[in-house]
Amino acid sequence: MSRRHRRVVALIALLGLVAFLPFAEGPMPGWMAWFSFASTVVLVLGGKSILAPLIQRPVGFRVGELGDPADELNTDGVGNLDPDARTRLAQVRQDPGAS
Amino acid sequence: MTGELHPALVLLVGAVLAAVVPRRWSSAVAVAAGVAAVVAVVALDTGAVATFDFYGYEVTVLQADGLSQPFALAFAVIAVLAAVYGWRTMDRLERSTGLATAAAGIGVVLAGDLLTLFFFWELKVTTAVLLIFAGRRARSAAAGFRYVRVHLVGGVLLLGGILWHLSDTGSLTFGALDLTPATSLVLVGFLLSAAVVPLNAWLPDAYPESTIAGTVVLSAYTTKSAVYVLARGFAGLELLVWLGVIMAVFGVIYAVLEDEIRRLLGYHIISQVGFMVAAVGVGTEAAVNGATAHATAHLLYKGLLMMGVGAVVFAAGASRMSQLGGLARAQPWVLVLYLVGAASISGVPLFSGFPAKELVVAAVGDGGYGTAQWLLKFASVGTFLSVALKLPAWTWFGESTGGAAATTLRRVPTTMYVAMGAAAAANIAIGLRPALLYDLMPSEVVFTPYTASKVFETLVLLAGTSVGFVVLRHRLIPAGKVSVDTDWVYRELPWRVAAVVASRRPAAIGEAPRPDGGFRIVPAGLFGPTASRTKTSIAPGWILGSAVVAAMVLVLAASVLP
Repeated sequence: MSRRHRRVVALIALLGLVAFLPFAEGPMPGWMAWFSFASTVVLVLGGKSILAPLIQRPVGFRVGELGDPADELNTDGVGNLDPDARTRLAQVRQDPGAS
Repeated sequence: MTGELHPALVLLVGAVLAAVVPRRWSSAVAVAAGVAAVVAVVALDTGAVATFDFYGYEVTVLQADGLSQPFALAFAVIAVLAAVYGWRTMDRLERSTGLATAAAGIGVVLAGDLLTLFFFWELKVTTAVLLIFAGRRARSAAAGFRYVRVHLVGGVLLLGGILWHLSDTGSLTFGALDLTPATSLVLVGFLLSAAVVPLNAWLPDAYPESTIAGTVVLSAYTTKSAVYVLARGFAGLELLVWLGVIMAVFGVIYAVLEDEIRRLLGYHIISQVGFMVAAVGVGTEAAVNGATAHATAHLLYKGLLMMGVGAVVFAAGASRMSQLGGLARAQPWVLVLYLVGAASISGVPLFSGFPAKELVVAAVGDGGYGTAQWLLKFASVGTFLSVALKLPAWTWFGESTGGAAATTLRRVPTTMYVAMGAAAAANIAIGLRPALLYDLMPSEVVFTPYTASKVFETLVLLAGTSVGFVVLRHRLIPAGKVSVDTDWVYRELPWRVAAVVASRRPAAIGEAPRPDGGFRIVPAGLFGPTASRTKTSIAPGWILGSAVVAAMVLVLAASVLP
C-alpha cells in the first residue's frame, strides 16, 4: 500500500470515528461527516465522470466568442492588453500547448 | 429633512460628478458619494415615505421599512467598497456607471410602488450593460448584448404584468401580491433577474466579461434586488422553495466543473441566491429573516471573493485555473483575505455566512421542507468544495500550469487591499457577533446559531468534505474547458436548426454565393459540431435567439399561472 493510500485510509477511518462523537443530537451525532463525504464523492465523480463529457467543450468551441488566446490573457483591470499579457500571448501563440 | 433624502439620489448626483470632475478627483468623488449614501440610509427613519403625484397616480419613490433598510444599507456599503477597490483601475465612465447601478439597486429596494420599481429596475439593467461593455473586449460586447436580450424580455414581461395588474386592481402599490395572470408576468420578470434555472445563464456569461471592479458591482445588485422584490411580493409561494433548491444545487454542480475563476464565483451567486429564494418560498417570519440575513451577508462575502479573484486577474492577467497556480508566495495577503470570504460563504463558524446560512437552513426545515433542507446542505458541501478548496488549490497553491506565475506579477494597488480588508473585517465582525446582522432584520430573530450541536455539525460537514477533496483531488484538476449552460438553447440551437434547414434547401441555379458578412451556414446537424458562422452574422442569431428566450420565459410564465 502506497503512502497516499495509507493516508486516505487513515482519513476515512478518522471520519468513521467522528461519526460517533457525542457533541450533537441523534443516535449518530457526527454522521454529517459521512453525508458530506458522500456528497463530495457524488459531486466530483458525478460531475466529472458523467456530466462533464456531456456539457464540457474545448475552449474556443464558439466561433469568435471564446477561445482566442488573447481573450484569456488581456485583462489589466480596465480591459486593455497589458505588456506582460502581450508577452504571454506571444508565448501562447508560438506554443499553443503551453496554455 | 436628512431622513427624507433619497440615498439613490445621492448616488445619482455622485455618478454625474464622478463623470465630469477632473480625472484625479473622480475616485474621491465616488467614495464620498458612497459614504454619503450610507449616511443617508442610516438616517432614514423606519416608516419614512416620500410620494408625489404622477398623472393622477400617487407614486411612492421612497418607502423605508424593516425589509428594505437592510438591503439598502448593504447596497450602499458595497458602493463604497467597490469605489475604493476600483480607485486605481476604474475610469471615470465606469466609476460613474457603477454608482448609477448602486443607485438603481437602492431605488428598487426603497420603491413603494410598481412604477418606481420598474423605473429603477430598468435603470439597473441599462447601467449593468454599460459595466459589461466596460470590459472593452469583443467578448464583453457580445456578452453585454446577450445580457440586454435576456433582460429586455424580462423587462417587457414585468411592464406588461404591472400594467395588467393596474387595469385589474387600479393600484400600483407594491406589497404582497396575490398570484393572478398579471402578477405571474411580474413574478417571471423577477425570477429572470434572480437567475432562476433555466433563466440563469446570463449571469455567469456576463459578469466575468466586465472589468475586475465592474464585476464586484455587478455581483451585488441584480440578483439581490430580485430576492428583495420576491420577499416583498411573493413570500410564501411554495414554488419558490423548489426553484431555490434547484438553483442551489445547479450552481454548485457547475462550479465544481468550472475552470474560469470569476465564472466559478458567478455560479456560486446562483447557488447562494437559491438559498434565499427557497427561504422566501417558505415565507415564515423566520424564513424571510433568513433570506434577508443571507442576502446581506452574501453581499459582503461575495464582494470580498470577487475582489480577491479580481486581484489575481489584475496581477497575473489570466483568469483560468488551468493557467494559474503557485501564486501564494507572491500574493499572501490576497490569499488570506480571499480565504476569509471563502470561510464566510462556506458557513464556517466565526464568519458571517454561519449565522446567516444556519438561519435559512433551520427556517426551511422548520417550515416542513425536510428534503429541501437536506438538498441545501448538499449544496453547502459543494460550496466549500469549490470555493474554499478547489479554487485556492489551483490558483494560489500547486505548480504554475501556465505562464502567469512564471512572469512578473503586477503589483496589486493598496486601495484594493483596503477594500478587501474592510470587507473581511465586516465578515469577521458579523461572524463573531451575529446580533450585528440579526438586529437589522425585518422582525425579531429568535435563533441562537452558536450552540455546541450546530457548530459541531457544521465542522463535521466541512471535515467530511475536506477528506473527500483529499481523496478525489486528482479528479478535480482544472481541465481548461468551457461548460455549456442553458444558454445553449438560445445561443446554439437556433443556428443548428437553421443549418439543418439550410442543408435541405436545394440551391437555385445561378444563385450567387452568400457574402461572408451574411448568414453563412455550414450544415453540421442538430447535435454535431458547432455550426460555423461569421462574426457579422449577428442579426439572424439575435432574432432566433430572442424568440427562443421569449419562448422559455413564456413557458415559465405559463407554469406559474394560478
